[in-house]
Amino acid sequence: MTMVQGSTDQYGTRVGGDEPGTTAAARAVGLTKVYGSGEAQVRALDGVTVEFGRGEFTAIMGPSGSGKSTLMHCLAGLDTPTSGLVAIGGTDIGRLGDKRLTRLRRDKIGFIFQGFNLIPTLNAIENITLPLALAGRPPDQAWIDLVVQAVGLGTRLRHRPSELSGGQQQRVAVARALASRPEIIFADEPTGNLDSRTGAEILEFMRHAVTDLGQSIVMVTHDPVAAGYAERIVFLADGHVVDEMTAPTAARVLDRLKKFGE
Amino acid sequence: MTPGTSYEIVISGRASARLLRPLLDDFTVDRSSEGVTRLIGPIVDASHLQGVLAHLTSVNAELISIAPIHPTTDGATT
Repeated sequence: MTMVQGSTDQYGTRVGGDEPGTTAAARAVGLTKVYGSGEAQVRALDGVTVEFGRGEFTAIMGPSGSGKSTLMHCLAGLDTPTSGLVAIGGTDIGRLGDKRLTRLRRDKIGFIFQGFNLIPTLNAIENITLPLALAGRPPDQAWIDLVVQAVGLGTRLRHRPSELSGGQQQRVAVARALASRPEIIFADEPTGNLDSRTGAEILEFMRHAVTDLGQSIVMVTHDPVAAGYAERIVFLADGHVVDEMTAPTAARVLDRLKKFGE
Repeated sequence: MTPGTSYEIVISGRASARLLRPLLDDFTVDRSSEGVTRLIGPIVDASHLQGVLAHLTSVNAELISIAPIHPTTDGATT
């Protein structure tokens, strides 16, 4: 892989040109993560190299223990790799100081969690704009309006999470992830707590955020139906990328997953 | 909230010290359980709790639980 040294921004060292459309939203190069030591040592990731394109909806799949959650946590700057490179946009996050890493995670990455992770004392619109408030950034009102309209919460924007259904809470969480117009959004089993119909609505909205709003989403899931909404699937097994699939369908995904058990 | 009570805060994933730095003076960090990070330490009052939660929120940590740890008769905690 050719590395092109670019200019330095507020987050630190560039690892490539970052003109829109030319750099992956996120990438890992030779990523290795080892937990423990001696006989208890676990090699959760073993030399993973993968890119996630701008404006793409990618799913990460694999059996339990394959390393998919570890990969997402390393890409998102939560966990520190043992070796290898992680870049968000053009920024090598391994070379950031603690404060810059915190700022990048807050400003440049959106998150959608299985458990919604909303603040119970804030209403829906306050939860949606919280990341901007924490960053001290004025909201781009036109963008917020677009996201709020797309998320379709209507009159419930002044409701607290306890007054919303699970599907409505996850819509708020998706809107919150989009509010800062992040470089990339990581979604961890986003429909795991939802019934299939509500889950489908959330996945449709996530796909809309990519196709119509130009966002980039990486989703970890074990659900072939959920993965079928993505444009591309990266399959992990034993800490390695073992396969990829484009234009997936739930049936094709299920067939591929069966091969892991053979 | 009882002054001086220790609390266990559980967040999703193995969070590195780099993200938790502002909390490390007050909390010990346990990453021994798969897929979670446990922060254990005293929370002195509601303001302290709000500050801890504000930091975890600002780094987009996924909060799983917060619970007091009750001392046992032999001085250990449960």
